[in-house]
Amino acid sequence: MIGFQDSIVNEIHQGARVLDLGCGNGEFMELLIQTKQVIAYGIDIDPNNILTCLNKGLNVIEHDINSGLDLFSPNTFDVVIFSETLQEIKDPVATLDAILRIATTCIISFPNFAFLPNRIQGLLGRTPQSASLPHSWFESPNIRFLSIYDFKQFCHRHAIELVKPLPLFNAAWLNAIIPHCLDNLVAPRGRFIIQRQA
Amino acid sequence: MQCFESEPLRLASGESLGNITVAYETWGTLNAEKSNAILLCHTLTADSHAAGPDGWWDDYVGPHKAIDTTRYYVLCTNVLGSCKGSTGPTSDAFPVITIEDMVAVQHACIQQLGIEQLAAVIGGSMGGMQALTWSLCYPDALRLCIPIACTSRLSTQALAFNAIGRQAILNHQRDGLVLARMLGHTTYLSGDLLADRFGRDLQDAKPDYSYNFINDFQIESYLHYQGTKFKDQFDPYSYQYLSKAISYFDLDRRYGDLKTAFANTTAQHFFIAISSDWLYPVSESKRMVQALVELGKPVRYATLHSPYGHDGFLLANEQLSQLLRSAL
Repeated sequence: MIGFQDSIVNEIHQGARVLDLGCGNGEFMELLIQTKQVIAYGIDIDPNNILTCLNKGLNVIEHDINSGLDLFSPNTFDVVIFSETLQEIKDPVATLDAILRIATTCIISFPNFAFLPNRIQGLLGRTPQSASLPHSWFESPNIRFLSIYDFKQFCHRHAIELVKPLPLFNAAWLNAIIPHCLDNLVAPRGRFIIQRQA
Repeated sequence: MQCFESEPLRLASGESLGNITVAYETWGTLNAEKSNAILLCHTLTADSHAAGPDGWWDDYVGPHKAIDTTRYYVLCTNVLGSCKGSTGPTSDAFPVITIEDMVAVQHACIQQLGIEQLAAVIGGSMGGMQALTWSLCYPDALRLCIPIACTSRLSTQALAFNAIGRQAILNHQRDGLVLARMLGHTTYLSGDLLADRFGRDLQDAKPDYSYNFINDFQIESYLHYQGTKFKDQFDPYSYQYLSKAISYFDLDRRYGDLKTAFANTTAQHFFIAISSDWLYPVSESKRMVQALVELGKPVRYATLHSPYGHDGFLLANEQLSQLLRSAL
């Protein structure tokens, strides 16, 4: 078993057209360019992230995902990376629909609200805070709270195919010993490859 | 500088124009390889004096500024059709010119200076149209194209404003320039900025209206001042010709669609649009970004967060400095 980042890199073919939605400081784009010589574009809303990416020489586009992805025509990309952003999206249905319109495949990750430490904090009467949900309630950008279970249900109802779950832990040995059926309880994040159902 | 002396320039209109004079200024030193030249393209009513005292982009061009003249050899030419030293109309007998014609003249100048490839072409508004035209017409002659507050074609509303400006000049010649400038200037600023700066405040803190047709509001006297000042600084014919040139600019029409327009470009493109610009809005720059992404070509886009509207790129702005630095 391997860690998460490597597993994504393995899923992307040489020279693919990749869009990183919410690309942050562009670290992952750099990795993909180095290892897979991809044609990468990044989208972010934060002018500081834009500047960081520009200084790294990356193709970055300042854009608010919440204002839609009409910016791109169908099948412009092979892969969209949608990492740790779903929980901040106003209209997840429209956004996921748009993603699977502009690309064949989406690699998605999101904080799992049903992660065991979150459940315990909830039972103790507190708003959960954990490694994948690091913010206090008053400063969190998150507006959608979903679990891995919820996401699977959502995909089923919206004709989205869960091609496969990706390794859930950054440490390879954890992925090796924990079976996927326990994901919703023990994984801090959900990570999937999704496609539009044929 | 003189160009098209032996053979005249064939204009987009089909007419010809020879013996063209170009006023230009330069800053910095051209290196031995002639690879460090940056061309700045000016707006509708500006001139070749980009940097130095009273330069229109002095905040950004100079030693150790965003466009660093200790590293780059920076040039700015006054466009064909203007009245600031280059060949332009002195009557309506002058042939109608286009942005492509202006750029053909710039290209001839650059070649006369022995420069094969520019490190960058940078321009805002009408200057952005020139930068784009460089990339489309002379793809190998530049490595980086930075169109700021630009569009691939004017909106219907912008065409309408241009038509009103030109009509004012047709009716009233030089006096028409006052109205054209008042109108143009209003379109270059954002509504919020006007409200912030002038509100409904009365001139000279007067307590009541004059009940007369003199300037009551501060915004009225401000625009009147801008218009009157402009009347003595610009030529009414030049204004007509340049206004027509930007109205004609339309990459969709010229090439069929934007993807076809950018198909042969090789330069890196970096678009900057201004958040409060309603004349050439952000969405216009993003249309061009879309075409380049679909072609799989290198492209970057940033929004300049400025409350000042279309003209925001001409004012000192730390974000714009950082963006230009990061691209160069």
